[in-house]
Amino acid sequence: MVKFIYKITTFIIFLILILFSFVSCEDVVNVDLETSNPRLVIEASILWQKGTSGNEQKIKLTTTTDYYSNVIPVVSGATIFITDSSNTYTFYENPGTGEYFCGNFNPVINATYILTVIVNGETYTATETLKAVPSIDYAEQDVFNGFGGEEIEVKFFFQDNGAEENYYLAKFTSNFNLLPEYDYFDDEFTQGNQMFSLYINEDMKANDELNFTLYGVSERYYNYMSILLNIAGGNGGSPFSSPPATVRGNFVNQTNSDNFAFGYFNLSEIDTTTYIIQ
Amino acid sequence: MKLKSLVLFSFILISSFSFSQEKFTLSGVISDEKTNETLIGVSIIIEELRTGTSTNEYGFYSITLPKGAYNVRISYLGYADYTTVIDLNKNIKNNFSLKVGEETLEEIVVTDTPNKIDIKKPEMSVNKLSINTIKQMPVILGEVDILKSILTLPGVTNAGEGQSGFNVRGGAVDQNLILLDEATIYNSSHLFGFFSVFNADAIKDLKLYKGGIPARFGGRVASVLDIYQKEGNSKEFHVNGGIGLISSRILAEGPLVKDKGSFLVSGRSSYAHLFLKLTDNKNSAYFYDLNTKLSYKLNDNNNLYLSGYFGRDVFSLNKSFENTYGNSVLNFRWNHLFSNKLFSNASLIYSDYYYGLTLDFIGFNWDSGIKNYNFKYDFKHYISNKTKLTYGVNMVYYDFNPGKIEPTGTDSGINPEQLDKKYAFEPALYLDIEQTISKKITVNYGLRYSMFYRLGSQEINVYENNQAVNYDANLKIYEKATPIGTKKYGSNETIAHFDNLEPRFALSYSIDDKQSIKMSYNRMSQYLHLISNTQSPTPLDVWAPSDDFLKPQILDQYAVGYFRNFSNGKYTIEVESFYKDIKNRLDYIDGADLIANNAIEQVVLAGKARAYGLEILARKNEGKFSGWISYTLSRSEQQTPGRTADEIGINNGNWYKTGWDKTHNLSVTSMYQLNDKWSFGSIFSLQTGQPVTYPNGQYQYLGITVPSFSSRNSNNLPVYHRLDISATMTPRNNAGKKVKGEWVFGIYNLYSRKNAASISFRQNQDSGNNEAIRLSIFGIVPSVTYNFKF
Repeated sequence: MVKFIYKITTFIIFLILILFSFVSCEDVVNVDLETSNPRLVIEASILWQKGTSGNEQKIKLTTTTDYYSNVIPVVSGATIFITDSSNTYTFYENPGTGEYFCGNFNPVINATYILTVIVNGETYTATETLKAVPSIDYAEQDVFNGFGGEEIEVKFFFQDNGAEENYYLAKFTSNFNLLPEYDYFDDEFTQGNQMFSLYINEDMKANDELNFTLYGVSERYYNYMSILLNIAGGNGGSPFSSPPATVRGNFVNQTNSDNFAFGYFNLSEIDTTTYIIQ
Repeated sequence: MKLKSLVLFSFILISSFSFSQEKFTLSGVISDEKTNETLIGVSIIIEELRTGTSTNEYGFYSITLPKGAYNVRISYLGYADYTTVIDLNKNIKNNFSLKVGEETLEEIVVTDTPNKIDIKKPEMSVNKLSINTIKQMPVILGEVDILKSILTLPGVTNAGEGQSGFNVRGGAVDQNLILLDEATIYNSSHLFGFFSVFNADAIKDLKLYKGGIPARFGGRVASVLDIYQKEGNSKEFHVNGGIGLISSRILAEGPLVKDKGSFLVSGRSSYAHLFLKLTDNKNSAYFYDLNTKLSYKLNDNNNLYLSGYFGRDVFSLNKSFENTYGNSVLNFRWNHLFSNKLFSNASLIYSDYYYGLTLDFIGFNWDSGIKNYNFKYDFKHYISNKTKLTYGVNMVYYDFNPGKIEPTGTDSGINPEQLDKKYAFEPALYLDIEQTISKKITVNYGLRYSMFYRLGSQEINVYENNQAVNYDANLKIYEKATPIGTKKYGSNETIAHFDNLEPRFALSYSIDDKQSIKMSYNRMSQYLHLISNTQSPTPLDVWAPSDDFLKPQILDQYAVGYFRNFSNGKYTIEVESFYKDIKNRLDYIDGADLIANNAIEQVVLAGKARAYGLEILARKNEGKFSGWISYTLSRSEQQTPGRTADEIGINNGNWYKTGWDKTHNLSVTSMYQLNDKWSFGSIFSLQTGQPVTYPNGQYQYLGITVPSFSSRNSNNLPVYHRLDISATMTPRNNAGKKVKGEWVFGIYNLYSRKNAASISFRQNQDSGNNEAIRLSIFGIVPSVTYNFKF
């Protein structure tokens, strides 16, 4: 919640800065960038939608590439499996896609899982716990008095578990946006209360479809996503942003500790809903 | 009998010798003849002895000389020289009133220009900008601005456009001690750096110490900006002001009791937001400030002053977001002359910095601030014309409120919370000695002994092994440690305490009448930290006092310089080189959450910083065309290695440039007085672009593009340069009119260069491609102001 407040404030402050100038502007410019050696990226986001079995899961392996390229190189031929206290779940590649699937994963709330990925003779491991999430109670549409005038806002309500510290990730996809949008917040100021996740977009209009997914996440993943979203959000250059950093996930390269992998291994229970704008 | 006469004669002879060594003191106050404003830094020169002194911050001077008759010459920039003969056969109190110098159109040839460098004084790394000079510089957005003026001096920069605060010799913005009539100001900018909080009309004098900081100052490591307000005209009532496109100001001053008591009230406000209201836009952003001062001369030996400052910035977005912040200061001072050689000033100051934020659409209200109560007692002891002592005591009590969170209504989902209030007490004692050792050498040496007590009541976290930050050696990341318990401290119980000896030393060696070499060393300690990991301080940043986890910053600065006057002070050149290193500069772990964090110790690591550089200032001080060129070549960097050899540290433990590092910084300021109606000014700035971290790759995660980076701040934004010009038109018939006016026209960024305030890398929301976006804030900005006085 606080992060959200901080982000809105930063965004608003920055907008106000622009208020004061006659010719302040944003231009796309050509900046020559160097390219580092490719590094492995492991996207292992194990999600268990409420009301489903959670057996079907997917893990993606790619590498970094030059900043302006539109093609993301995939990594094939890796060995991937997850173990918990009793079982091993193996992932099989859909050949040539870098996407690895498993059909018999067994999700259990608060269980600990270890992921192993073997690529080019190097072994990467990560450990995480599957976090629960409350159900989404309902959605409410309202008017937001923003910088540009009136905009539509939608709040998705859910009940925070007052017995523990909770961390959340929210994902918004829609028919009017090409890319997904994410938000992250915790229950520091709202412990045990009914909380909401807020979405505002000036492009939203009646009959648009807004999909909301709520994830229960661990504190470590919450920290990871907060850094990642700040970097990805393009705030890297704003005078009010923190210095961009190479965000390290929870993978350890057992073979060569300097050759770390990007990405994160997280397990979350999720709930989703779709809201049609009135 | 003969023996007795011999003894008697010898006795008389000896006593007549001691009689002829007898010394007397000439002292008094020097002020402006028309307004009675005391004048700071006036030179009083005793021609025969080729010695002299200058007035202190309250206009007082004192010089002790052997009995005799002397030609005394008093000179001060902007005023006509005054000479008189003083027959010093007893202690004499002589107050002088100086007349404002008449402006002549021809090239002024003066035998002894006050603007030239005081070759003999060991004072170095100091820039004194007269308020008259500042008022002649081109104005941006219609306002004479003190902070923008000091940016034209070498060694002073700011991180970027739209960023508040200023950086001195590679120091951070929280390392500047900003004093207004002896009271500390926490935030020196309105509207994120567009305007400074100082109303130039109310200011009498200012001095910026970049190094060689005297022992009477402490608490911040990089610089001291010492600003004094005017007392107010105690002879006549006057009003002056200005009306501009974006802001206006007005000042009223006058006598309360003629020649004894005076008042000064001035206010300033911006009103651009009213234009927004006209267009039915419900947003507003404005600032206002108010300076007030009451002065009263009780008698020849006692003066009382009461001054106040109140400033606020207000932003509101259509009622859903409202942000208010600002400084307020109230101070009471008493000048007392214990003798004609011992001047004292006692100050009692209350200062408050407030920050409040209301987010109605979330139902959230935030209040935070700092209050401090300060007592200072400063003495200036003019022992002889070769020795002057400055000593005193300074005590500050702090009350920090890092944040109070409240719901705005019953339906808000926010729980109220009060972050732990913090208290501290910072006393210090100092002694400074300025001594003329020989005709060529003058030294200034001193010692400040500063202490800091972090006080309760508070409940402090206790950690295993006293480590508040954990390092995961496998993942190679830093994380917050969980406290294993807490320790309760009672009200005013000491939680931690520090003390530091801060030696200060400066020496001046005059090679001859025109040139000298100066060197200085100072050690400073700073017990407060501005918790911020952004380049520009946002008002959300919080000041935190030192404790067991956040140790005080300690700085050592060395400087050496060469100073020369040409053609009797018509031209001057100053070349200075400095090196400083700082211990305990805070750095933050990746993703550090600083807002509303009750346990800052869990996200900070201690590192060190250093800066070094070369500054050149060349000035033409007289004539129709005058100005200066300042160039600084410097480096400012910091390093946070891990706490042990295994830890990775920040940026892999390597040195990296700070966000305000500027390799080259050139500023050319010029002023041209065409005739008595028109004068022109211009400022040209050229700087290396701000250090930034560019991506060196990208990857996809959860459907979005994420850049990956190389080392921190290893790239730079494009070179920054701009040209500002201004023209002032004073109508010729002004002299006869009751209300005198003048028009000031200005253009900021004349060739409208799109200087990059930032370059961000992101995915285009429509195409999905990655691109670099440059944000520039100011294009060409014209301004018009009408100034008036009566």
